[in-house]
Amino acid sequence: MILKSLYLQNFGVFQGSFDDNHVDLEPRVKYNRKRPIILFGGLNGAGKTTTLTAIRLALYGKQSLGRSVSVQIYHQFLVDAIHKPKGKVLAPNTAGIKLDFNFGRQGEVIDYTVERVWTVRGKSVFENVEIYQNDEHLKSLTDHQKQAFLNELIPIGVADLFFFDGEKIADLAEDNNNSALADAINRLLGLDIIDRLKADLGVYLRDRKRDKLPSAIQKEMEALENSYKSLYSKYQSQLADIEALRIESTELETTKERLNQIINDLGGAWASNRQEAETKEKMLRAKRNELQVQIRNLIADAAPLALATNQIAALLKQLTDEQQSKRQLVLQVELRKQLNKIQSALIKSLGKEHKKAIETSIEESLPAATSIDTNIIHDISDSEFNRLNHLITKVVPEQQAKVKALSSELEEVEEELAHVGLNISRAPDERRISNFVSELGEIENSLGQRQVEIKQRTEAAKATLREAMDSLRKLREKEKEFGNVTNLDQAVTLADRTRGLLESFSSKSRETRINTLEQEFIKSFAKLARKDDLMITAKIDPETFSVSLIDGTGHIIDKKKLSAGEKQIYAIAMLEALGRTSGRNLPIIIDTPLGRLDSHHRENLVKNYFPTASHQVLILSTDTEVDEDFYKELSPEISHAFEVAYDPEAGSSVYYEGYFWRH
Amino acid sequence: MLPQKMKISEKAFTSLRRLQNNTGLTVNIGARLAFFASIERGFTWNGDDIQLTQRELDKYSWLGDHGDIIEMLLKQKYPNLDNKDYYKAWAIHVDDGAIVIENKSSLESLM
Repeated sequence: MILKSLYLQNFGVFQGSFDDNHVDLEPRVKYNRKRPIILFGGLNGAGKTTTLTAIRLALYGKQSLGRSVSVQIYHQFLVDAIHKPKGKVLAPNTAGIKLDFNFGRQGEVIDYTVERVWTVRGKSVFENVEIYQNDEHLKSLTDHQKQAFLNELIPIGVADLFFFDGEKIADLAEDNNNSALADAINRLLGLDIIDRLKADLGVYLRDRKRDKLPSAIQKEMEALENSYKSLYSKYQSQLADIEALRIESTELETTKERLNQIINDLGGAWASNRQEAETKEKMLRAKRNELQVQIRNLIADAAPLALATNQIAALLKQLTDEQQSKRQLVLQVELRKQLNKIQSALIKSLGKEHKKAIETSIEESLPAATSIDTNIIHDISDSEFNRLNHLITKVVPEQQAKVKALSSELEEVEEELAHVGLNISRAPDERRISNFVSELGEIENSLGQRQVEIKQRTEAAKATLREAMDSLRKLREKEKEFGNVTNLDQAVTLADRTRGLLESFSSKSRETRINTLEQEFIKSFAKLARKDDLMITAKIDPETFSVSLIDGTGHIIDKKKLSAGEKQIYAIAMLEALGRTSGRNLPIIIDTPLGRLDSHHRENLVKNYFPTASHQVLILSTDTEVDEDFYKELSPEISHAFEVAYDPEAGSSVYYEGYFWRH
Repeated sequence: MLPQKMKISEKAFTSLRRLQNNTGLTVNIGARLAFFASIERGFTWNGDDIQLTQRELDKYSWLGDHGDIIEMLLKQKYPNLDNKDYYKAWAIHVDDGAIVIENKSSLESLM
């Protein structure tokens, strides 16, 4: 197969018609030699990957995006792929890709042209695919048939290995991609054809054998086969339904995410606990009122006296002093009374001549009577004093402490209230988001329904499969029962033997092919790897196709421990080996092949891989990947080169023939 | 000592109404707070006259349960005044303290 020309119309960064964006991909003859390499150079974002995407899209349509991609996503991709011109009012609503290639079939080279054009009207996307075979329009095919026709030319699994992104191909080295590799190995080595042949012969044999059987048993077996066939096709359609449901539910998940995002943006997270916040606010308000009443009551009572602590202490001291002086005064008066009595009694009994001495000695024994220097200001009663003393020393400090405690509690409540109030004010009005919330509810509902349905249908499909297998088992038993007793003609005998032969051929061929593949891999790997990697060999399991790398000492290398660059080298070596072993002549397209590689690996790839990879090698690279030195190195193999240049003024890219430093 | 019916100045009344707006404490209770605050901060009446025009209440309403303490504090600070001058001294102290407390914005910041 050779890719001949690629035409782009308003695709990605390329603006204009098919004639404006056209590249000639056919390898040219120079000095009597066909040169395989076509180089595409471009800076980041110029449109190199767009070129690869275009070729894959032309050939595989929806499948170029991946295995189970919904029509919706594919259409969105097509809409996004239409060129968006800079500064023009009217954007194009149509884009297209045209690819010319030829293909060798049974010794004949046939020219094909695929033209894929799509138009956006409103929200709908209309896609049209046309195929021309040797310039003859293949008219009678449906869209589905056209795609099937293209897939038959180059199966998509194979294409992944020939048209690849150098950065992503490293994934192939991961163990979890084993199934992709197994699929590719099976197809590329032609083992699938043997399996198909075996199956076909089985069908032929069964039919022939059945002809020989008594009609009653024939009928019975036919009925069994029909039941098997209908059950199996029912199972297949059930699987397809389940797949459709899966896609639907993925789409619902996406919508759900989007709605959640919208609701969050509107402050929905606050809304969900708005009611809770409002209840709390009510409770806090009640508590605040209660606290305020308590504080006000205390302030209406004795608490304010605490404001004048010093003055009141002074007052209390004055009152205490007054009480003391009054008590002393009373005491002195009482004492004087008693002494007077004693005095008169002494004078009476001792005689008047001692009067003087008695008076003097009594006066002398009296305490200093005038110790009372306190001014009596207030002159309150004892009981009054006791009441005030209790009030000032006990009640006021108690009430003051209470007010303080209540105040700090009130402060906390106020703070909490402010916080809750803030939350409430942040929460949007329920009505603003209620539409989205109810939509979300509906979506969650239908998502749940889908999931239940998927579960039920999976169960049903399993049951159908069991029934189908049951019919098949009965059919096989009948075949065994009657197969041996009937006389078989020569064709049947031969077919039967061939089947057995194919069986062993398949496994033998698998072994040899895998052996060859291993050898080819080691060869390719040796070319590409650095010197210190040279001892590595590969072992491929013929059953599971899992690849183990073995180092010089016989230990298995953990592929997870390989660096991204090493994985890339491993994957490219495996691809080259597969290509060689398969003998398929497919072009190779590599996007950014050298991005992750060190200088040694780069050099090996440029010297040893590109020139011999295929009869047509399209390399898409930046100026740093294939620089002047590499260009010189490759130049005997370069057929021609394109530069993809982005023009910021026009907002679009153009293909020029030439390379960065060669125009 | 203090008369049975008393009034306060226009200025004190305005200040205490503001306090009432902020804290919910009525004017008569505010007057008690104002008096204690003023006496504590050492303010002294120098004999100036004062116009008492606002809100006639009886003594008990103005002074509360502990009115005797207010009277004693006045008598202690001004031992030799005429009875009618004690009324003026009380009103002057309310006037002075009202300015101090009028800007208290909440109950919890009062004491």
